[in-house]
Amino acid sequence: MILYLARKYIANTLILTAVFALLPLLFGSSFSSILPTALFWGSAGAAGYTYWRFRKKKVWPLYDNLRLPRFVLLGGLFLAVQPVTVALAVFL
Amino acid sequence: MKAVPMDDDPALILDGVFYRVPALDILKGVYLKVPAGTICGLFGRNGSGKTTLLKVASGQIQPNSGLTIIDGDRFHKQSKKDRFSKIAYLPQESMLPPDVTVKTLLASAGRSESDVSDPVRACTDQQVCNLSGGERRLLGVELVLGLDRDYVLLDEPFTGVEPILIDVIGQHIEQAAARGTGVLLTDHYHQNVIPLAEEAYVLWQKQCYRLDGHAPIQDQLVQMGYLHDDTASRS
Repeated sequence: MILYLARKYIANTLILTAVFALLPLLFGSSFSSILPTALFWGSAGAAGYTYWRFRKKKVWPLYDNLRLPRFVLLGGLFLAVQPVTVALAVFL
Repeated sequence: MKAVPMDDDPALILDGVFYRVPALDILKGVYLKVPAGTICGLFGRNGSGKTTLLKVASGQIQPNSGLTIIDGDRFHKQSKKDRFSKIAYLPQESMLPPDVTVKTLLASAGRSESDVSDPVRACTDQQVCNLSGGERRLLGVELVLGLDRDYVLLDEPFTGVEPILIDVIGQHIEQAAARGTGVLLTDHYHQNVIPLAEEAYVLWQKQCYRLDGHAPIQDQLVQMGYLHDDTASRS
């Protein structure tokens, strides 16, 4: 079920990153300069959105039963994305 | 309420639970005890607070005051990881993600196909969204009971389930109790709960009343006005 959560989180991160990158692009910013920022805020927003979606679908009690702490998992997934954010900021 | 004898037997105890939402008290000083290895039935009318009480016991919601005591350990905060090392909880609504296969769910709960009943084994390759409501409920019950915790809270496990599967669920609950698991069971289908329950409580006027162990539960439910005479005789 950790992989299920990770799959959902990554999908949400990609969608939100695209959304956060799109607006500055329309206003003429360069893609390479906005991508790290968009990914950071996209991953942070995805953590909140994924939490909310799972709460709405009433899935969290399953994670409680399996003793998988929701905030630790989402925090871990957020942190796992940050090396990518840093790498993009450094190399782009 | 009757005085409760003090003993050190392992039990799940809800003590002095108050829960209120704005402008409405839902629970007012509820006391309930589920001894280990016992099936305890919880009865109450719609909106009497049964589901709220189970949510409090499982740490899904924080009561305004009151304690959950499990085998002598007090759980007054939402320390879910500690709490769920002792209990398992089947919520009223399905907790199973629709786009996951049954096999994945069983594996995540540490169960193999050989551990589950035939109706569940027959659909291990299917996704949860393709199961019927009854199959989904049976799967939820089997997952929760298979976690091998000391106490299990079951909120309406028989809802939407066909009679044969009700028998299967009943057998699983009895087997769990025989292994020493304390089971708190609530369901509106009293005819399914009464044969299983060794002890029973009724939630009435926001408080929990323990039914006397000497008289049949059904007679006491009639006496309290939870069941009508003709309803009881039909079941």
